[in-house]
Amino acid sequence: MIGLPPVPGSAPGVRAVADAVEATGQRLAAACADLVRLRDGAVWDGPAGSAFAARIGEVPGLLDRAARRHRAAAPPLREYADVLEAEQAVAGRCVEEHAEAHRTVVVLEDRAYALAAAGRDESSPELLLVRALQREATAAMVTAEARHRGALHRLEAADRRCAAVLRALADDGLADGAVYRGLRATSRAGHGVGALAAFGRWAPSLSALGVVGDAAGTVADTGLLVGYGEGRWADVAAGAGLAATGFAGDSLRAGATTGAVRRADGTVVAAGLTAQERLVAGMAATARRRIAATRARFTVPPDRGTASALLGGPAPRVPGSVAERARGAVRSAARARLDRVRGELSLVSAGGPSTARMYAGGVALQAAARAAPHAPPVRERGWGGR
Amino acid sequence: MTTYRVDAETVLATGAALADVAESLALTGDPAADRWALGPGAVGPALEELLGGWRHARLVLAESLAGLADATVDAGGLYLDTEAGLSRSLGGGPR
Repeated sequence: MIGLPPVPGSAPGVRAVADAVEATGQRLAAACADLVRLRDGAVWDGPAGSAFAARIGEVPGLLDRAARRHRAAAPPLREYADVLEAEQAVAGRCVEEHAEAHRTVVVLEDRAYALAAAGRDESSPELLLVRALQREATAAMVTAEARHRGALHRLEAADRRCAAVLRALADDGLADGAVYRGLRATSRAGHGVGALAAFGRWAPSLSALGVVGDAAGTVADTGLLVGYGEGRWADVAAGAGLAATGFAGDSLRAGATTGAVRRADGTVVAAGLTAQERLVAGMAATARRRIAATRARFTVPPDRGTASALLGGPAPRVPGSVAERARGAVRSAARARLDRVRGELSLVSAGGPSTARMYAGGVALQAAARAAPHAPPVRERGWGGR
Repeated sequence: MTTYRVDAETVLATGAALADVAESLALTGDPAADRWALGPGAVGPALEELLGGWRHARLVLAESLAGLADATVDAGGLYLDTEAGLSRSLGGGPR
């Protein structure tokens, strides 16, 4: 007799994902609002400022769509989490009731066997009582199974609703095209097979396979660079050279490019990044260093927030200068970020190691790669778990 | 329209925030890691597609933001209209 399976999933985990996704959307939306304000509401002083404004261009449009992609995902996820929690509770009770009823049936069967062994027949009052109790317990099992099935059906319906909303949100013009996905898949698979070349010393056939695989990956890399501006010719050339010599593979490639990236919040991302991702992250880090160096040299007189002499108007009567308020805002933002990280960490601790693993994946910008361990492998099962 | 000079420090704060967002976009994690919490249904793959299926646009956006962040170093001071007031920081908003 197989017992009823519990319902997989974690409602607190889904809510944490929803919160993280929403926070990401808000952060993108805030950046979008600032850029729109700078683009549309600012009169720049000097050619460098005007050039900056011109560069803003269409970036707010992209940011806005990305923000919507994230923020709009939160409500359906929370709705799904509520259903998941409720139906998990129902299913959990059913699992317990079913198991208890099953134990009762087994015990009663032992009792019936003992009575029969003692000479009682099926018409004896004792055995009739045992059989009646067995029927009750069996009926309880059937009821538990039906309620369990009902919980799964309601959860599947909620799952379908939520998934439909998420799929609709993904259809926003930002989605990767089929050609791009194909090239990415070929690149990953090709270089993955290319790793086999490293084992050629022990198995020559693997070396040949690795060369072919890495060559395919290099061709895909070329397509990504030519078609999408992703990557660098130097990397493609290096990949081609490695493939030609058979001295290739992910391990070598990773070894050549590995360099842990320390993020602004102190977390370190050490793996799983492509060259393009490292490149862009490096650009951001370079920009941050330049900004920090400039800010360090920048001493702001306390009255710099006053009105422009050219364009007129008194300074607004608010406490502190613009510079002081800006610095205060930066400090407040830093404090808020610290508080949020503390809050997330407390949530992670409360949720146990599974929640911690979830945060390791990091669907949110803030949560990305915060912790080191990998998530457990995904097991493809139906809702019934059988 | 009343216009006030906004300090270069504020512009640089904006740049720093843009650099943060750019880096975060570039380093966004693998959404598949969160699938365990969502159960074995259709929500997991749909969320993965939503959060992970815009890689090219994400990297283009990150690159643009990093470039803009870098450009704030050269942009210096600016004039900004204050019809809406400077009620919120230009440092990337609430984070």
